[in-house]
Amino acid sequence: MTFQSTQDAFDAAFSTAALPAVLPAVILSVGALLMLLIEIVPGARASRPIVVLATLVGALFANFTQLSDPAGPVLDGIYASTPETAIWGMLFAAGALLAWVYSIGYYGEKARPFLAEHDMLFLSAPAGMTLMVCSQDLLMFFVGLELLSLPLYARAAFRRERHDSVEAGLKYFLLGAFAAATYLFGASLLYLATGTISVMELKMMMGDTITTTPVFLAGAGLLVAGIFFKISVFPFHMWVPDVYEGSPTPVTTLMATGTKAAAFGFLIPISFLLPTEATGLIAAIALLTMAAGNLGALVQTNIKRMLAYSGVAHAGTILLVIAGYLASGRDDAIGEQALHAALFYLAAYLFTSTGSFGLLAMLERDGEDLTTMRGIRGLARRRPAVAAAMTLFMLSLGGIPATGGFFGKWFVFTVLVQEGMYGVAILGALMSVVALGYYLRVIVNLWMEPLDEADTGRVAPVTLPAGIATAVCALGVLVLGLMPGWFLDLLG
Amino acid sequence: MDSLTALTFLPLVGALIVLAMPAAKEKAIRLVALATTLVVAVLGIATYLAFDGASAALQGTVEAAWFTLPYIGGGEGVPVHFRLGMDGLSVLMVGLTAVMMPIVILSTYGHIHTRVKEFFVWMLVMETGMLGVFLSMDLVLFYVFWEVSLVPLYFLVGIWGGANRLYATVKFFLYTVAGSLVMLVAIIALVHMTGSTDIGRLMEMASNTDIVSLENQSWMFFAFALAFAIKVPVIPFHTWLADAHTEAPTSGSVLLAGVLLKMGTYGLLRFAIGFFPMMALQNRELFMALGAIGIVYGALLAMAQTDIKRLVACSSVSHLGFVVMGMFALTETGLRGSVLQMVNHGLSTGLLFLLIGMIYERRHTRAIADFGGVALSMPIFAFFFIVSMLSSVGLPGLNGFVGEFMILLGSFEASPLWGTIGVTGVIFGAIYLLSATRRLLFGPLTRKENEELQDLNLREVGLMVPLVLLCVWIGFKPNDFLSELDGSIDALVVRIEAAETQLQLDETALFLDDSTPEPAVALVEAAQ
Amino acid sequence: MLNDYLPILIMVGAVVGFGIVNLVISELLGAKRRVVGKGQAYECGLAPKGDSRMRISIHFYLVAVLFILFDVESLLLLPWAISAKSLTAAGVGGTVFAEVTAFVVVLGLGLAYVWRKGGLTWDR
Repeated sequence: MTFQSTQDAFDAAFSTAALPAVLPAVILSVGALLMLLIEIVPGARASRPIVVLATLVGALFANFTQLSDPAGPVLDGIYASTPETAIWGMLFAAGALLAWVYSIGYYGEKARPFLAEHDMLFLSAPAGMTLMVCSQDLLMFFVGLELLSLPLYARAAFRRERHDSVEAGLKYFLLGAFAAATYLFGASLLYLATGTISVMELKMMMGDTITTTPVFLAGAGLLVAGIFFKISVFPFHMWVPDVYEGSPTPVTTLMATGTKAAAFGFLIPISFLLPTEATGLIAAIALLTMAAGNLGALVQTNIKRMLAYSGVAHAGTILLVIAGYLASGRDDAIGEQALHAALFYLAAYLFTSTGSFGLLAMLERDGEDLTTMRGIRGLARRRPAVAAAMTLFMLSLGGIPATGGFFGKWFVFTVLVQEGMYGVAILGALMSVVALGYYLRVIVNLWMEPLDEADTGRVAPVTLPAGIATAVCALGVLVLGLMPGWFLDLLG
Repeated sequence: MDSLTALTFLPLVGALIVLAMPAAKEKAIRLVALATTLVVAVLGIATYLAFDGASAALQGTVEAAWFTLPYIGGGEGVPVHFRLGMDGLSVLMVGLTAVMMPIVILSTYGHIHTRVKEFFVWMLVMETGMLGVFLSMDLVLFYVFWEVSLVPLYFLVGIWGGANRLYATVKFFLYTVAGSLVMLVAIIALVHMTGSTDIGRLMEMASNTDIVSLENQSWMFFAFALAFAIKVPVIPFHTWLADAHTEAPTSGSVLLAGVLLKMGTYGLLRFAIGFFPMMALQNRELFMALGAIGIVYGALLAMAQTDIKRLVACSSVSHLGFVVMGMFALTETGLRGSVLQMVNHGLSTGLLFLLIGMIYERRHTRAIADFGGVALSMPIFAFFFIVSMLSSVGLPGLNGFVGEFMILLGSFEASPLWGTIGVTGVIFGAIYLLSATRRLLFGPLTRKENEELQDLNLREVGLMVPLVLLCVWIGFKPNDFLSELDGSIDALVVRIEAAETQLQLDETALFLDDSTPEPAVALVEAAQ
Repeated sequence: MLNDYLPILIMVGAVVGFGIVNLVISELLGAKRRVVGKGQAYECGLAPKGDSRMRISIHFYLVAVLFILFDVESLLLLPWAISAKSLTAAGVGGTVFAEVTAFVVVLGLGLAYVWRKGGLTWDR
């Protein structure tokens, strides 16, 4: 864009309209900085929870105000605030808040001195996620991605006295760096082909002959592959189980829900970069991802690892909407529908997954590994409420009705069915049967196996914060499953 | 609150009350559960009596907006309703469910002694699920109830079942869910094509080739049929049933046989046939064959069993083969007979499972070889067992006869071959049930344990009396019950006949070409 | 367009040529006297001592990374410094100055954090 004067350029970039749009990200960033300040001001540590709560609730509210009156594209079109981004933002803040609540009392003595840094993650991560979904510019997305990822790499290795944690951190960092490089290479090839990195300008170019050149296609492919790494799509999913298992569980929660959601929040709107001929490829990748995740999960005995694989399978399910969108010949209306389907699915997944990882965090209590199938045997006899909540989450992950997971699946399949992809939809549906195979194993162990005094007897009591967070997650799952209209109304 | 909503959700309210009670108060929990189901039974019978069988219209309809499925249906979105209603196809099922539940609850006094509170919570949730399935008149609502009703049985078998319960319950769940998910895709496609989730309206639209093309009707028919066939179960999907029945606690078996399997046959009737009559006609032979094979195969399986409970479970496969065969005969007699037979099977097999449960509580074995001469020590038990067995065999004067007779009559009209094969099932049925009865009840008392058996007590007799009375009532005056079906079955038959005409016209149209005289083409097109 | 780059090409040629020519001339014309001392590694006028493969404190890397971080970030001040005058002329100099100040404060906060956490202390 060219401007007549500096004043023009300035006006384009900074207007008062931009402030409410970027406010959520600003609040989160300021909160994260405050958290660092707390660490260096003597005697300020006690105010940690207040800062976390105030920041996240503030971000929730700031996003909420954008819901009814979104600012649209601001800052010279590199950032946009829409009802969808407002909902994403609210989900990120809510997810971070829930994960943070579960982290209270999770860490042992050794990690205590670094809790401010730990808490900072729960503020910088949603800030990065918000930037990712709001970005209308390939570089802006990258900034958000790194803002999210760099602290996550460190937090994965947070329990540095444990080998698996250090391994998780290193693995996550190396593969993340590789993904970032792939993404950047793709973005630079796109720039080479088109001369722009603005999403809106790229979109306007679609249909041009320029977009069928090898350079453009290679760029689009690499860019998308870089994001595929982040959402753990086959064949880029190998790192997931090790990293999820090794990281502290509250951090895993954030990785599993927020990172995936934010990457999809950007990927679906930019999937127009892919040619319509890629429909079959994307559908095949999605189905393979589901198969890899489900088959991997089927043989796990560690529930955390099982949930990691199940997360891979869920990413595959959501990826199906992109296949549907491409099959429609990149129809904008279908694109919006695909985005909304993914939003609903991920909203349900966020509550479900946060709840189940959170309960695992509670069972685990840093080191006391009760997160194996054996470890939860007969838990229902000792903690019926915990078992009931876990059961609800498992059923939601399996997509059984009256839970949010069911309507998520419904909306995803609707996108496919609309494009006449019945075969893909049926294959996808049958994958869920495999998935139920391992979700049911958790329920079997919780309720139907005899109580194992030696293992389950050591279960820590339910703390008040964890209890509240679990109740909120369960409520979210049920509301999405019984009154999906409330959420759909937000989308307008 | 209107009666159908109350009927559906009262058990859920009961479940919540039980949930709030302390687990130690087992007596009070049992009473609350019994009271809830009794109230529901009274409500159910009242609804049943108020039903006008001559009308084909939905009765007692309740409708409230639920939410809107966005996008589909030309961008407007499709409103989904909380819609309940009852017609001739469901009225008997609702009555059966309402009557069975208190009996089942009463039967649990004998065999549920652990985790009592959880048990009754699931029991009551299950009743809501089952009634919801039969009463839902919205496709989305139906699907929600359909899958939700799986969960309680999963827990009932998994926690209170026999030695091999975990295998049985997971198998049951996965089998059923696999079918359901394929159906889910068909449901989504159907809602997308028709822009409606109202089951009444879908009946009109789903078979309209302008709205849903024949190819789409074809795969959707099979998707629906698959889900329900697994639930029934139709051969070759029957393997889960024997396991689930054998491992389930008595009350679970009774419910499974009495009501849950009927969800499958009910679904076949209302959705597979009701939505896609043309496809049902085209695949009539296939399903009649599956039914007939089920009858014979189930009977042969039953003959080979040494476990009395497994024997009755296999006899279920055989009896439900009758229902499927009669239904897919697609004749008025066959349809009426199969609906009645659903009730009959619920009553007689339910009774048999109750009786087997009672003797298992006393002897802790189900092997037929462990018994013999039980009639000497337990005459009352023997009486009830023989009545139930004869009802199951289809002795004239008892309920089973009427249903099987009508089904065979209807099947002969449609296909003499499969009808004939079906008849042999009656003979086989008599063989395995009579011989099992002989080995169980008669002969000398060879074992000491069997000499000391206590006969049935008042509770056990009392809970079976209503079922036996119903068996006799249906046996002597089936029209009291069949008349409830008149309106709905007539309407269904009219639709099937219309579909038949349409199919013949389509076939004729295939032969139309340029050489066909103009008037003939015009005639065919007008008729279409 | 390529013509615009011609002077640069000429300059590159001149620079490289100058170096090569000088090296060649000194090789051809210079006196050559080979002694042992000349063949040794040369370090600040002293003879080398010990092994060059020694372990370096991990702390060095921390300081190096910190240096690069702050170095690169303060580099971002340069564009502002260059356009400060024109921004002031356009009447937005104050706002942009406030923004740059915010940037520096964030940087300063980071520095303070590192300092306080002992990241700059060599011996701990």
